[in-house]
Amino acid sequence: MEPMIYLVDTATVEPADVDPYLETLFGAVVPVMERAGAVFEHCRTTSDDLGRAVDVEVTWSFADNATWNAIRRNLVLDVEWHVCADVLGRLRRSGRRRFLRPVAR
Amino acid sequence: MIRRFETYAFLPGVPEDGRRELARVVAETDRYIPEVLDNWAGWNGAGSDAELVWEHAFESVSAYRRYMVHRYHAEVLDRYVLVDSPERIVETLRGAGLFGYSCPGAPYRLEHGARRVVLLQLERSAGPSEVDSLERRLADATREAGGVLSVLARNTMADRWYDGVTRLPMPVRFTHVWEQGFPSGEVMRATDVGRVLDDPVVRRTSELAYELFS
Repeated sequence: MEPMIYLVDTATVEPADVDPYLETLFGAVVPVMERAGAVFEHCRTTSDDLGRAVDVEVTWSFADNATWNAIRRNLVLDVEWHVCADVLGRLRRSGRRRFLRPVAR
Repeated sequence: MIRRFETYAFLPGVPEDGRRELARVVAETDRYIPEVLDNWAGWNGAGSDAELVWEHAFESVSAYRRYMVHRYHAEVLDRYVLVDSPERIVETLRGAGLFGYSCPGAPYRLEHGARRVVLLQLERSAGPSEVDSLERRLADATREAGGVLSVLARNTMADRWYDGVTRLPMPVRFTHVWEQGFPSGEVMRATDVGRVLDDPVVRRTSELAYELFS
């Protein structure tokens, strides 16, 4: 089934915290999210060599809200999700979460 | 009916407008999700860790399941609450969390006023007659204090939050929920439930007390 919903998390991270943030993301969060049923789409960042805070944008996809509800249940029951969410929470300064849907041209 | 509560304690440093934003979001939920009934919020004035209380109800399990997959739930409510959300402003460990019960009708219903909710951990050895006796004493004490309702029920929602039925492997700290309704915060605050809860079958309690707003 084609994914219909994209979960886009954008975190603002200090330059010194970008590497540990990405290490936690790819080393821990991606396996946990994929195990729960989400599809990793991509990770993008703003420039990390300007000496300014960096935005890290991560996008996941899934079919619909019912699928997300099942993913959320799997996450809540996964101890590793709580651990890595706590680590990312300590590394980011602020952030934003949005659920986006494709728009036809 | 499925009676349900969520309670929140805020992360350190969350500004006042962030607190008010979550309170507004929960208080407005019934405008977006019609399955959410008897929707009220309140600022906890009792000594427990929870700061914001959100109380509501659902007519049936199917209504609850529609709420669980509603866009407002995932895309707005959870934005501030879910542990991995970059916009989370509440703690996961403090506060009473999620709890509730099933009941015929709406014996908890208040149109205005104030609510006290006491989470109870009863002794494992407490049998039906002891629980019934406790329920009567709690109702009597509520009436004597000027309260308009008293409901004691087994806490079944804490480990059945996913669909209202399926038990999930989660620890449940409190076995029962006792809620009282009062015509005003003033009447509620004039009451002391410590004496009536000093009972051999009551092992541990956690209290919430708040005036309703929507």
